[in-house]
Amino acid sequence: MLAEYISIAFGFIFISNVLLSQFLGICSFIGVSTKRSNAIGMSLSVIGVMLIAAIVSWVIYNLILVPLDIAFLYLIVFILVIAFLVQLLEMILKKYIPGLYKSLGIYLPLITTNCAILGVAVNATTKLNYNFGETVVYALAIGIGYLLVMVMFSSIRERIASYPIPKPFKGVAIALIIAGMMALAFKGLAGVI
Amino acid sequence: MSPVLAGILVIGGLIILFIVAYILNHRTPKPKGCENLKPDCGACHIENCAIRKKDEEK
Repeated sequence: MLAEYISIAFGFIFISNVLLSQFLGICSFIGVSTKRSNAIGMSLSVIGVMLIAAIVSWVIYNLILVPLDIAFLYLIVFILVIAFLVQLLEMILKKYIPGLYKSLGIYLPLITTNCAILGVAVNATTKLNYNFGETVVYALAIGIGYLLVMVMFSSIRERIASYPIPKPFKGVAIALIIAGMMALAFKGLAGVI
Repeated sequence: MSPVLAGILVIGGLIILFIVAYILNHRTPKPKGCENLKPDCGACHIENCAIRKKDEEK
């Protein structure tokens, strides 16, 4: 069982990375990666919401939707669950952890529309048919993979901002070229497990 | 219970939960120093994003 968890974690952090291999959450990947501090804040918010959303979605899917024979409604249900969780999380941060709200609060509404969160909930329950433990490891691995790539990507973007890049490649163009090279580098790890 | 009724109850329940959470969240005052937080939207080109529009209106 432990070997399976390690395999899931390694596979989804490095090889099938949510950003570089599955191409989910690309909006925030390009949009919130100009500064490393913003990238870390966004990634931490995504990890938190992703983990809670995956757990709640798994419980609702397996304990309510499947027994009641309404599993076909999973997409609407997961969207509502994520939207509800984001509102709840924002409220809790505002009231009890204002310091964390100051650094993460601005990214919370963006998470509602982040397809990586919905993708994890859908994949874990309907596509990969993971059990509860595997779903938790899967959601954490995807979140850590997101954090890893965001930190690397934002660090590179911060450094190249001061480099003399030709005008047509400035901004998003060079960012996409870097993202492609990073995807190739991560793909090189395929076959390790 | 018929699947149609069960579906209506589940979706309806979640919508009610979301509305309640939305109202409570908007009634919760923001902590001091967080009244005018701005997102860094410079690199994102999604023009119809609600956060971007709100920022531009200000």
